[in-house]
Amino acid sequence: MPELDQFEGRLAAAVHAFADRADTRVDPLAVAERAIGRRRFASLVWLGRPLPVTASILLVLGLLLALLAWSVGVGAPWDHRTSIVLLPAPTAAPTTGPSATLMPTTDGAGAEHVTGSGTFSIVDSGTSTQVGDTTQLRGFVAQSTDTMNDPRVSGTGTLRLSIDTHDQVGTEWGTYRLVNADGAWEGPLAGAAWSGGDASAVTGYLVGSGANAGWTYYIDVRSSGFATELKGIIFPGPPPGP
Amino acid sequence: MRSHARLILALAIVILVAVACGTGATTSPSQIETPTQAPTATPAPTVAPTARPTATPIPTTDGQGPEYVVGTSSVSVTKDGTETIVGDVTQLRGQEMTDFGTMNDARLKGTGLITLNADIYGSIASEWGTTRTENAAGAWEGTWTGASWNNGEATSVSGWLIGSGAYAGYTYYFHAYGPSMPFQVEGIIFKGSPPTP
Repeated sequence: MPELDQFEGRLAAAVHAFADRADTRVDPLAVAERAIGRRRFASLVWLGRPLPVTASILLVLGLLLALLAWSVGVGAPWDHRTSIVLLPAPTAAPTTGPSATLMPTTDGAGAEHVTGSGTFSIVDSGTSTQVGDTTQLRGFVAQSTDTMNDPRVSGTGTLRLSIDTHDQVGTEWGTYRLVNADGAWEGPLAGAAWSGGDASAVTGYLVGSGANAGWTYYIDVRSSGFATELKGIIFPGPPPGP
Repeated sequence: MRSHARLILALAIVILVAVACGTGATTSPSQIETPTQAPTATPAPTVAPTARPTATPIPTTDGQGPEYVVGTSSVSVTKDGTETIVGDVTQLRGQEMTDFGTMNDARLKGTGLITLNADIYGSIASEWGTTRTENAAGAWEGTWTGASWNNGEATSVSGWLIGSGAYAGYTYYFHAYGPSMPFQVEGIIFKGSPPTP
């Protein structure tokens, strides 16, 4: 049957032609979605790459935490200082951090240039009164610990101050008594504060007693932020006269 | 449910960041104004330096009312004092100096005239004296005390100067310090008198 042979030949050609045109590609994701149900947030695209949801959340968290750390670092309020000059809260007892720039220790005898650092804590914040444009603070008392490069001027101090503030600046005056096991230093201090009490400079001549009798300690106390620098000289004589 | 949890978590983090930013933003560190003009006292026991100051590009104040002021001090000896040795002390008296420093407040313009006395103990000295700074509008005059070390290279002195002329009623407190010239100067101008301990 030659006609049948021709028919079978055309049929076979038609079947092959159809099969060749059929789309046999398989989308594994589509198959998986159909198998487990459609999950719209199964993955997110980051920079053209799909990432699992968990990884995406962790990435966002990391970015937000970095932003948080940056924002705190940029403007945090913890650089406020606790100046001996500030109008303090009644019960506050802040301290200033020493700057660790001690010179080599002296031999602790004779005339010397001395340097070091101090910490302060408020004992009595005193009382303030407004008189015209001036705020008068009276009865301010602070305890100090002076760490110096000469043992004669290291010890515990008591600072008594009066402060008149004029806007962002103020004058300070009072007395300072520094005590250690061998003796003491005592005398007046005076100076000024600025930046709303954030920085100050006071100086004075302290007269020695005990083992320090006959000696004078000129002290320069300069504070800025949380650092208090101390420097001065010890010399065998009285303070300068008026 | 899961998408709600994620949304809440994201909101919490955003609020946390906003709070942190707000907390930081409350800081208001006071601005330090700085120099352009005027002098102040600062001695050096026996050294006679002649260096002139270098101008520091720091904002000037408005030259009015209470102010924090800063600048530099460079002194030059114009007349040697007399030296007398008394025991271990060398007593320097009546040395005269000129201060060519610059400050950042126009009220402190002018050349400072300084007298220096010192009791010198080896490389350190106790110092005291007077200073007067004058310009076209007025003058500042008063006493100062302090110390020097490193044979007069380093210093720390401070004083209270009373204003006159346009500065009448004001006081200028200065603190000059540093390991070498030009010394740093900081201080305040305020309406009122120096404290009387």
